[in-house]
Amino acid sequence: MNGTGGRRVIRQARIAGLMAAMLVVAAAVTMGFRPGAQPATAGTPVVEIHSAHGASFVPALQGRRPLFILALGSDARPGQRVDRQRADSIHLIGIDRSRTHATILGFPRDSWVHIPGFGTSKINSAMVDGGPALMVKTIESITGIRVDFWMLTSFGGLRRMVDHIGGLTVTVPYAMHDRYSGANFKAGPIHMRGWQALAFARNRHDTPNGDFSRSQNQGRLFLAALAQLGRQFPANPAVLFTWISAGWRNVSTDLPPSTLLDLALTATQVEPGHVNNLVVPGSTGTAGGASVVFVSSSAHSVFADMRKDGLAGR
Amino acid sequence: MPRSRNDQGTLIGGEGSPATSDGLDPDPEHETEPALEEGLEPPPDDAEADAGAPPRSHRRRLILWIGLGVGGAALVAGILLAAFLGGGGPPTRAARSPTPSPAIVPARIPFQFTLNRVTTTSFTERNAPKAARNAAERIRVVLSDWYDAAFADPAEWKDGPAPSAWSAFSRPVIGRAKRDRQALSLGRVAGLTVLEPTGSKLNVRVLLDPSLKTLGAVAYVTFDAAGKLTGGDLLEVTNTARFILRPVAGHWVIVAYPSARTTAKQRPAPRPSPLAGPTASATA
Repeated sequence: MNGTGGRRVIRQARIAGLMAAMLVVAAAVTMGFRPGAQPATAGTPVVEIHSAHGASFVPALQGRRPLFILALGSDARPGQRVDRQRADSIHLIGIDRSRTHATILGFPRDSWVHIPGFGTSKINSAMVDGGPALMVKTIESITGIRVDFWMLTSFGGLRRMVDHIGGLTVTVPYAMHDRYSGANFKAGPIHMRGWQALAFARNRHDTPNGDFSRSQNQGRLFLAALAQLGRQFPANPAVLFTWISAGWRNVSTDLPPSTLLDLALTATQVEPGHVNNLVVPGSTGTAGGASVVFVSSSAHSVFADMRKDGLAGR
Repeated sequence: MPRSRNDQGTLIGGEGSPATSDGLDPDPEHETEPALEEGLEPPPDDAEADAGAPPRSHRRRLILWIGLGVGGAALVAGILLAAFLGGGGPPTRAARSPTPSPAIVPARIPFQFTLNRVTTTSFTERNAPKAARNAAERIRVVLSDWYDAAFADPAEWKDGPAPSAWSAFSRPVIGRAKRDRQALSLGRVAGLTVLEPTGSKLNVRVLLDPSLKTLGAVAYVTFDAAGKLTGGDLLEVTNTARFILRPVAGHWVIVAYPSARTTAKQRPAPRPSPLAGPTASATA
């Protein structure tokens, strides 16, 4: 009886040992050696379900035809009516239908042209005779282009505008040392304060081609402004409001505020590289004892080109 | 004690019941407790065979049966534990391609912005802070509704923002905004069960026209949220955007978004430390 009982105990002990061994193996397999069972650590890779999705969209003014704006600079001195002095800076800005390309077309201030109702005279006298409205009529009669809006500023207005937006980085095309305007620059990019931008825009003595070069340099100021707005706007869109405010306080215009905001938004979509800066071709001469610019006949093809789609010279 | 109960106890503890062998039973305790209880009773065959055995042999057998019962229960528990932990490796396969469970209803945590800062730019030198504040408050409501629909609403995680939510954008912009939905909203995330906003910022700059009417506004938005996926992993959502809004027919709408960006990153769920958490404290 004892022998049988002892064998049974031994057999049961073996079974228990086998069970224990199985338990150990099971535990080892399930807990210790299962691949990937280690606890998560800081080095565990992060899965990007959406990689960084970025988007940008600013709609431009809608329209079925190109948009034309006449930008004028008066040579009014302090105390004088800005809109009844000569227009020393005259630029027609054409923006194409898609609002992504543009042309800046400068008119030399001494251009000898027909002024509706006043005969033939220097173009800048149109403002003395009839203000910005007559300037618009004169440009329309020369080019055959319907002008949508006009904007007019003064020496002080330009200076204050540039200061208001924190200066303007302008690429000076050649060295300038002009005591009349105060332009004193090395060639290359220069961050200008208001008075420097004004001097750069006024200089016609120390330029390769007198008033033609000056008109083109004024176009360069527009381009510099466009480039600066394009750089600042995506990161800080409210900069647009600052620019609008600076413009409104220093510019006379027939643009309603809402359209000005539309135009400003449109401007953010125009790449400076997509803007052609031209000056109406002509030759200097005299008329009535005054030094004038005779608009070249080739200008008519430029006007026709621009009339079609807002663009010229490409 | 009925003999049949002893039979069941032996099967569960010794031979490995179907519940333990395939590890399907989610509750190991349910099996462990009866096994221990019933192991105290001798099996019917042995009981019959050892009816005349001395008390010492009985004790040994009892000890052996207890040992077998405990061992078997531990084996069951080990296998079930392994099966349970198998779903949480880093990063889990289930979490990498989360499959929404039809049984799980995603939680809806509504979202509202609070206004952080309101500033103004005026066409002239005059200002109208009250008008600007009112406009900013209305803009806050518009953007809150949009973010609630575009991020917080579980329907968005499957089908995108509800059609009515797009009215936050001006009519000419809606089409383009829908194409940019990945930047403007969370977009489809399979297996997301809950998304809780963890931080947001809304700064508004209002443009006042010469008559001091509100003409437009720029809204600077940041939105952060934390979500949970069905596999247990976490989802970190970040959105930053700059919106331009204008009043159209008496309602402020988004007319432009100079920049908008959304990222959603999946992180493995943090594992509780062996020295912390309810299991550890229960053991201690």
